[in-house]
Amino acid sequence: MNNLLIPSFMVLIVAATGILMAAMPWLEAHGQCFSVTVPGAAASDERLVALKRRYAVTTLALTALCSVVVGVVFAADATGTAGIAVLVAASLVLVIVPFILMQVARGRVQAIKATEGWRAEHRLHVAALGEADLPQAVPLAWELLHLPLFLLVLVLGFVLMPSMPDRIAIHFDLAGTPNGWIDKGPAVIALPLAIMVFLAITMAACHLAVLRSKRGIASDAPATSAYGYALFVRAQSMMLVVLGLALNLVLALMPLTFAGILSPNASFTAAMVVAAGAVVGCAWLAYAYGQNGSRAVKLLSEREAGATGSESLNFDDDHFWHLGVFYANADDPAVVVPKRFGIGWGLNWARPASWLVTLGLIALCAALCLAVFLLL
Amino acid sequence: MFIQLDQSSDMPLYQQLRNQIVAAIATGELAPGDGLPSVRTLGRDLGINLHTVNKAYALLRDEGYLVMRGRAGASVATPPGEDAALKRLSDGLALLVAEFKAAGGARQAFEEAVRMELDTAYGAAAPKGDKHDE
Repeated sequence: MNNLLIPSFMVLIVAATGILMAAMPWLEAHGQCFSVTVPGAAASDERLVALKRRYAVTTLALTALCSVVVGVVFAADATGTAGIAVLVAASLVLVIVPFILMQVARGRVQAIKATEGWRAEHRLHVAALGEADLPQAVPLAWELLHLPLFLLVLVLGFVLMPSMPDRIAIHFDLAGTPNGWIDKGPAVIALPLAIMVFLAITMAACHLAVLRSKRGIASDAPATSAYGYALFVRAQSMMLVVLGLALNLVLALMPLTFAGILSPNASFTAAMVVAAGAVVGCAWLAYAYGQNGSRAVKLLSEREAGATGSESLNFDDDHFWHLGVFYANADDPAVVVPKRFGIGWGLNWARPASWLVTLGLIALCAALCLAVFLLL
Repeated sequence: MFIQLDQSSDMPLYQQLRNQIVAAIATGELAPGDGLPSVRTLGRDLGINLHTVNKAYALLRDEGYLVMRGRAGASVATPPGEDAALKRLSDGLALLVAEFKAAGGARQAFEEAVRMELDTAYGAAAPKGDKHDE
């Protein structure tokens, strides 16, 4: 295995995470600054721009530091044991620290908002009635394509079972040296299948959540933001389907590796290519579309920014967004809502359904762990 | 077609919703047969209680603007026709005229206001003698 491939891949993951976190203030939905509702014209307010820059620069510096550390550790340790620990630490750092920076910035924006008297005169709720002419999300039925992949792993497993060794290596370190084996038997097929089923259910659940979400429409530009949001949902739903199927395809081919037809190297490389594609793809989606499609469609207020953009607010539900990222509104029937500071969707924690869904996902993870434990 | 409900207004939300849907039918943005979002979808997008949406839809059904098509949900009804429309008009018109006159409004001002609203809904009237298509 090319000994620069793995360190490069790990650096890519860390760098992409950090860069995305750094770019987040520019990816926010229309009318938001560090998860504080501000008038459209305020987007060009120099104090807010300065806050965004300071946050980004700090986060980028941290990203560079973490990337270097991760790269060096993986380059030095071919087995990857130390590297994985450092990778996990770096990932945590690159989420926790920018989150803290964001809270600080958010506090400053709230202070500016109070000083400037940006207040909602009305409480407007906006929704689209007709949607036939908007881009549509990828239908949930596409997730059924996971079924042929389940079939594939079963067929490959049964057909190749005779040519597998009695002790099959199923776990390797990053240098390609095996460090975990199981005996030949039904577990050899059940293991990849269990992971595939888990992945398919998770992706389908995310897909369903996206389809059932409250739509992120800005009340001061409903038509353009509705169009942007539709584009965003279509792109994200496409990514979910493609990514899920690509990952499960790699997993479905595992019997080939067990039987020695595909080398572990090839398996790793395929998995890394898919993972790298996912990271780069999602980052590109985030950059190109922004949250709720705010970058895909130039909204009126931003074009007029600084000139004649209005300074009044139509709607302000900041008080439902705890720490700017946790939404809890008992009067809102929506369970899934677009995120504030971030790309994608979150839950309305005031709805019992959100807790049920979360518990369900945790139970699913527990079930997978149990299945793997029993099979090994 | 967008619904904009103002929670800070005096008019109840379900009333605003009902009025805006009626207005949409009048302007043609909602045509007979067009489907409306389910109560759950609309409530979710608007971020308001499902009961409020239900009330508005129920009101519109009773008034004959919407029909329920079972699983397919609500859709815009075919207009019941001029007789039903006239009946509905006379119910509210007497009160409107009385309120206007009691507040000191002149007859001509009322006629002007009516004309403006009609122009908005039906398009400006053609001068007499012209052949126009609708």
